[in-house]
Amino acid sequence: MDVMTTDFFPFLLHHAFELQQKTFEHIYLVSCSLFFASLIAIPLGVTITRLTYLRNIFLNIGGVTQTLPSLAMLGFLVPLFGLGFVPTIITLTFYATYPILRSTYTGLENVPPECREAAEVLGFTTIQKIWFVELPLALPVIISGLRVATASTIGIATVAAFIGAGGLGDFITQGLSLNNSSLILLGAIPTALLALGFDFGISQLEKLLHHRKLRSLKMSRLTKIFAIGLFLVVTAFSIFSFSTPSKNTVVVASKNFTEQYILGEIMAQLIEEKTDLNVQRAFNMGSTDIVHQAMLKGKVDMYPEYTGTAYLTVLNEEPTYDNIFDKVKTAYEDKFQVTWLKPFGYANAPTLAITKKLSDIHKIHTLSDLEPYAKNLVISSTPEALKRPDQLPGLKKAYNLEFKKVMQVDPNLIFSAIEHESANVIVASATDGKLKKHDLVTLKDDKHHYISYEAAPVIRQTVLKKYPEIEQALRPVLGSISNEQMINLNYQVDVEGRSPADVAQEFLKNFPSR
Amino acid sequence: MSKHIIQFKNVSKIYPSSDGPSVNNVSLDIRLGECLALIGASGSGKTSLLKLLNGLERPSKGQILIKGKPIENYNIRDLRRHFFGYVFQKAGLFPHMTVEENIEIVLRFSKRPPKSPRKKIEELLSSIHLNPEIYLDRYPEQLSGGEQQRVGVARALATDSECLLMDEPFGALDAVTRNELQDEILHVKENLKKTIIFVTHDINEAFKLGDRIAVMQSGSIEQIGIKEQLSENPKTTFVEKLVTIGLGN
Repeated sequence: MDVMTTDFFPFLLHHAFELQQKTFEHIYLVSCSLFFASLIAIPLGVTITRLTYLRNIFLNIGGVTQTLPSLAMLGFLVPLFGLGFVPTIITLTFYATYPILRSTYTGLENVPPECREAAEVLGFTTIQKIWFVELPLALPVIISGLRVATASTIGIATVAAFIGAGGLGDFITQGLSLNNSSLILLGAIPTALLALGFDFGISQLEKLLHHRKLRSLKMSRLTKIFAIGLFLVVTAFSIFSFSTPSKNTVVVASKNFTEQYILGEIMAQLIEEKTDLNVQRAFNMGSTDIVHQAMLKGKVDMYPEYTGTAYLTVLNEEPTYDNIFDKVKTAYEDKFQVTWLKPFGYANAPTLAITKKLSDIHKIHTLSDLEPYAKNLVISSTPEALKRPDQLPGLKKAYNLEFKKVMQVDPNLIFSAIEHESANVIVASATDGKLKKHDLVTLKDDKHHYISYEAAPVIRQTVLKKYPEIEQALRPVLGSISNEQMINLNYQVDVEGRSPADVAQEFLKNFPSR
Repeated sequence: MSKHIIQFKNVSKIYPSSDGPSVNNVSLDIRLGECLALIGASGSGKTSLLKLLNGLERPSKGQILIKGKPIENYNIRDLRRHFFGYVFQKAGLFPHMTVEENIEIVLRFSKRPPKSPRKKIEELLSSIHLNPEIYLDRYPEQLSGGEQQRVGVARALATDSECLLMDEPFGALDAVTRNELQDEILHVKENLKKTIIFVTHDINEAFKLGDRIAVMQSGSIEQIGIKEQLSENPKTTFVEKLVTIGLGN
């Protein structure tokens, strides 16, 4: 890997502050979730040991919850709760509850019956029996469940990155989408260390309890103090995280792939430089749906979007080959009070790419040119492009293309397929930086089969009205980024391993119209 | 007010799952300040009788009076906390609490918690010959069986209850320790004037501690009386056998 040739140590130093911040965020997310999970699971555990008919229901449902994918859970919660802290905490709490519930139940079941009877005969009330006898005796088992829950929560918390709640997952998802393994490691190693650290801490606590060095009555007092303290912190933070950013701040977002980061940076840097506004970056949002919902909730003010995506995915319209920019803009203004600024200039449509060599030999420049040769060529496609009617199936019909073989591969491996000559034609997006790396050319959609994917900033109308200077600031780049330039920018990040911020800065510095 | 602190009137307890009644038409008066030894083989109903008293079980038939009033008229939790002190078969100490905490928790839940629980606990431990300095901070597992049972007795005495219920408390102890603890009980009885119901399956223990001895078999009381009545004038062959050769272990 190119990036691994650079020294890891300077890289680490460079990110030291960010690493510290993300680690704290991560710890915070995990502790809050575990706190809430315990708050739910322990009383519930006490309840189900007493109400036997509830027992199987909760234990079985609890078991099933563990199999739900966490990303799906987040996707479900974002429309309800917006982005960031709240849906993340709900998700993490959701997953941490079952192990604690299970262990609470097991621990309570294993309290010696003579201890229960003694408490009864000495005249304890039910609450006193639970608090002073059953829970302290079950505590070692409960703690072991907490230990399991902690380990998995630290892992799952990395998905928080997808909806802007921060944490070490930010590094991992950035690294994955930028194909930067140093960044992935920067997230993954501390996550693993954190898990080990927490595990060690809790195991020490277990040992301490086992030796009964902590005294039961004092222990319950300690628990109270601890609980109240944590509750205050959590409440304070919740209020804090609900409060909107300060007045002169705009939140610039992006989805989680290279081109989006670069466009996000270009927008953010222009606003920072040319206006008095502060910019808060909310990059790395997991999907179109997530960033769109965040915008509707007012948590995001602007981000770069593609007309085709908006038309098909957000507005759910049938594919059309007309120019859709005006339609999309009108629909967004009517439905969402969000408007589209002028497009950046290039169009990132899905298309087919072949090697420059093949193109030169047979003079294949358009999709129509490809037709006579198709029956001798192998095409490699992503599963999505293979199935979406507006993509390959429609394309084959429109251009009468019949390939020798169709090979379905993972999106990340598409370029390997052509590099290793397993395929001659690949499905690619028009501005992919790897096109340049592998010396590929894209074929022109001369019959206009594909819906247009023009990239443009989308912005909330209230924000634009309040800060019209944003449009002023962005104006120089709008309409003036070509496909070649965008490929080049993507190349610098994806292949050369530079950061989107650097690439954007350099691009703006050398921008001709300045 | 009756001189009988506790009265059983034709009390039966029938468990739905078992063949016969575990307590069968028992009438029994317990006198204020006496020690009644309740002896019988396991399954004879003596433990059931204690459970009826402290409200763990309700009688199927008959009535139990405490100080002349039906037991239902009392708040059962108050009875357990203030009227009965209970000594368990295996001491019944909470394993996660020290000796001090095991006693403190009972004091804490009582109606009139002492101003200085620590002082009270020290007195209690001293009274049953355990050195507070050594024992206060120990956990039950660090104590011998005899020491655990001493703490159990101290805990039963902590709330100054009128009546001690003792459920085969010394059955698991070796002969020497058992003898020492029996002496402690005699001591307590003399000094504190408690009414004691003492369940045992050891006839010698029953003779040593009991002012009166009630012999139970199959849920019924075969005979009740002082030592001499039982040994000189046994009513049934079971009683005769019991007083001559014991129940055997």
